[in-house]
Amino acid sequence: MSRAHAGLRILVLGNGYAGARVAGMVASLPGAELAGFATAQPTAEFGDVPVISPDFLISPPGIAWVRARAPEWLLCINTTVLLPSALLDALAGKALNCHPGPLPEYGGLHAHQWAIRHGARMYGVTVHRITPRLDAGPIVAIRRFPIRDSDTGLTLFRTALVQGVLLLTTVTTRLVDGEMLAETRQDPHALRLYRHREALDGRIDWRLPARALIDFVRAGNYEPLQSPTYTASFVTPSGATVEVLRCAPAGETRAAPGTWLGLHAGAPVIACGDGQALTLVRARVDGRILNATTWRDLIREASHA
Amino acid sequence: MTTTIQKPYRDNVLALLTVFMQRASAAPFDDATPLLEAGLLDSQALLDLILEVENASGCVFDPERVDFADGLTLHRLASAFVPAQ
Repeated sequence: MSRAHAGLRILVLGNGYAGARVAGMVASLPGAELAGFATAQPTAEFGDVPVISPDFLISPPGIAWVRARAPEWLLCINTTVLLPSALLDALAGKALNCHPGPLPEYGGLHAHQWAIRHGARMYGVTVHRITPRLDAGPIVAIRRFPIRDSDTGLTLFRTALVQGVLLLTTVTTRLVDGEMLAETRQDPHALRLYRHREALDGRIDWRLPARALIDFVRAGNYEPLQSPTYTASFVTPSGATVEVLRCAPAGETRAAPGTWLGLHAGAPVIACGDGQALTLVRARVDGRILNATTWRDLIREASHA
Repeated sequence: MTTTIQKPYRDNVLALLTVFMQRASAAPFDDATPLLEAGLLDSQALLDLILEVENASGCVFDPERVDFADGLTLHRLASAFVPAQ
């Protein structure tokens, strides 16, 4: 199909790398025109294109500004701003969000961490119509990719951002080409919305199976950033909080869950709830990575506590 | 900590980090400035920095190569990037 539009006016709302990439894509895409860029921390400029804050965008003056700019589409990525109905009305419903998770099974916040915790082998990103109900609009496109054994919460989130930019680029190209986007309605009963408060408890429960603990640990690993939810941790008898960043299977054991089985290659081995043990390959106390010497010191302190 | 990344890669990554940092922050810094502690970066900006450098360099970020306990500097960040497999 030929490009039917000579400048499809598109407004972009998005933060950070992903927001700037999508705005840049629209600005450089033949047949598209960047009508404005709403972002919390502007790091890129696109000529005389207005750059506004997300707070302004959803305010009454911002909605009036949108009506005056008359964009034909709004594209959202890497933002948690909830769009008011008045803004959606101003856009005649022509608003798309790129959600960093496959819908309907992984909606809401921190869904990538839950996918790792669930032992999922595949993840994805979804472009959907924005409706008043969070992440519930009809699906326009979905892109799936594998979760690697080495993925952490941070690496999977990074992958979702990069894949989201690619998917939104594909969808935008189709819009500019004048294509009618096929939409798939979501089953409202299948939509799972994860909430921030559900993901804050990082305490390690050694009664869980070893595999579940490995996934719990890596899902919470945002090194070297601060995790937005939790970092898996436990408190030693001497009161030190140990943050665990990576652990690995260490074979079978008959010891009770939580029993320390000694050091292996300089890292402690601890019994889990399914007759398996784990080696704490990478962990830290007060931000400092533990090595064989510091582990021995920690164990000695704990035994005297 | 292991820092066996080849020097040409590390120099390229360091140059990219410096360029992106100059865009992100108007405050002065050098390779040894602790970026988080000095308030030059927050978590979102650091994530953006990592993504920009991965995209521009073809390298991937591996935080286990470096201990950031003594401060997150451009020099240490550069040492955490490795060529993609």
